[in-house]
Amino acid sequence: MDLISNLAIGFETALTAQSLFYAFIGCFLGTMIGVLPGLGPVATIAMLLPITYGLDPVSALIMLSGIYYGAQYGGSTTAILINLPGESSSVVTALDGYQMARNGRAGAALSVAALGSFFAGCVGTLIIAAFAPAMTSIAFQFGPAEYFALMLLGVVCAVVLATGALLKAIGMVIIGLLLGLGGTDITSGVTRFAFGIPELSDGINFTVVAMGVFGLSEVIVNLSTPQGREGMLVNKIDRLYPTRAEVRESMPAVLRGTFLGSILGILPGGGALLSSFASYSLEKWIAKDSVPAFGRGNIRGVAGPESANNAGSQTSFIPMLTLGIPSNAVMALMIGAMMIQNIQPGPQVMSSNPQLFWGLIASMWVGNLMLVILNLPLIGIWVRLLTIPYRLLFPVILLFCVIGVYSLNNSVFDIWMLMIFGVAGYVFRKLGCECAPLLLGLILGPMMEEYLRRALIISRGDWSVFLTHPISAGLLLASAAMIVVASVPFISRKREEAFVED
Amino acid sequence: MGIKSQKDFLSGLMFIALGMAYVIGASSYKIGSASNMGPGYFPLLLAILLTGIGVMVTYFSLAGEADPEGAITDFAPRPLIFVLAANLVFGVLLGGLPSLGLPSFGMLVAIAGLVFVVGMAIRPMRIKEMVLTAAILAVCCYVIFHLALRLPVPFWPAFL
Repeated sequence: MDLISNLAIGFETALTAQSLFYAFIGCFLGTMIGVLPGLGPVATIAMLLPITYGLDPVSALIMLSGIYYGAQYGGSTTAILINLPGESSSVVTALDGYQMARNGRAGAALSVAALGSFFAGCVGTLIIAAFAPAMTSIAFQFGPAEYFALMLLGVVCAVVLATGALLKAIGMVIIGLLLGLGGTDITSGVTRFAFGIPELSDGINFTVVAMGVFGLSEVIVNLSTPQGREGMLVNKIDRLYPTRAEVRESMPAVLRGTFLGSILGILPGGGALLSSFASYSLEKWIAKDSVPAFGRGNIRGVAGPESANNAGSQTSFIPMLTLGIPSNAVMALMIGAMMIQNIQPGPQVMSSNPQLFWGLIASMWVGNLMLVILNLPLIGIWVRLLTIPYRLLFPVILLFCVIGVYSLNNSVFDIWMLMIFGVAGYVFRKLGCECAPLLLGLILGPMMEEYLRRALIISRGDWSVFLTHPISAGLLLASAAMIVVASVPFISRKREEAFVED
Repeated sequence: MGIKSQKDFLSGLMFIALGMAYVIGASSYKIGSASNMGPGYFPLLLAILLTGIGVMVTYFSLAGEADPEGAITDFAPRPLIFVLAANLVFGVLLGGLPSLGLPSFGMLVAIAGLVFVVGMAIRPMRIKEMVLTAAILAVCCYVIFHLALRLPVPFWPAFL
């Protein structure tokens, strides 16, 4: 069996002391930032990118992905205990989880969330291992037209699934694409949009933008809300384990959530957030008359979405690993990390770096196991973290951002750039423009230009090449369909409701 | 007509402004044709698209239904200014200003500067807490970045 021998390579890599160490660090940090409200995985991964310079590629990616799914786990803890989603995908968990905590069932909610996530994580890992090679072989048949169409679909999905207004999200993607084009044009060698500043001739550094619009502007936003400044009151945790009835109720929800999350995670633009919303709606629809009602502390409303978001966050690695195309902002950062390590993301990664590819997949399973161990018995420690006032935390976050960007090139110039993007990020937030599409555009900009150029050179400038190639035509049709569907008033209203949710 | 959503109206204007700027910028490079794209081709395409999006966003902000969440709220100049100032202070202290003859003060001084300036973003200021935070952070950074990761960062003032 290929699958087994491949996984064997993976576990060989993932179970070395070094990999285990970095997986642990990643999971630990991820849980920590997931628990702390106001610091998301995107900002944290952006802050830690510079540190990964010194690591080997396998350790770097293992650590970063640990942060990603660790944050998923940690975010649910905060959501359940204090009704403050530490992370966007746990917004739904807060609905019923917090009510359970108020009913004195915090322990049950936490353990169902953790065990459901673990189950979903295991399934997600298996799905990646099983489907990634097939996806890779499809990817090898892609020409430039197909790649361009696929990236367009990715961008469109990211836009449609962004929380704000559709047009504004499109605008943000385009700004990202344009920013990404700065620097030296590969084909002509012309330096674009550098304003004669030598530091800009290599383009705008991705990490600096990510830290500015996510890290720095998040600090500013949090400082301006009064409740962001002080520690929180936390519900007490009683017994950690769920009753038999609760287990029976949550099992099917976990299965459905895992299934739904695994599928939605693969779609570009999908991932954790969409999965958890979809699963919550599904559970609400299936178990309409269950007691207590949804929103009043129904355990299904915790089990389903928590499993779904973890499954989704795992399978969202598939397009990144096999096609080299990011499906969300975190995956965009992972691609950034690969490029830092001189690994060109794409279908060839599996054959050229099998240790990296399979090691990363195996480490996801290991990481999920670590997270259960980290989260359940050690829950008391995480709860303590919540009592740290933000006024002690934000100087640390700020310092990390500044030192992080400085250490990219040991140049103060990057600190000035950080300031610019910090202000920009703050302005975007105040205007209700989401920054995640911008980050995606930033990564995709140069790639899209390159593939568009190649496709049109081959076709001698004939734009119909995108429609005469069947795969590319299908992908473009899907993109168009998504835009149309999202802009129909009825559905766009539904979409807003889904994201606002009570 | 009146502005139905402040946020959308200003976002639209921002898109138009950025789009126009990029149109001008991209036009200064060789545009080429579809079969032989110059460095200006793709940026120009995107910039025109962005300007168009901006026009649409602005139009809908004037013509659409009144949006109760459209007003810009909680604009907080104080944290914004002090967070930026803290960045500036850190950068200047770490790198110095060669043009003004200001030497580098090294990372430890820069950390203290950052903590004090950003601490002013919150009222009431807590001096003791800030001194303690700065001291702990300085020690941690020294251990992590200098002793463990060996980053080539100047830690002590250059004139010592």
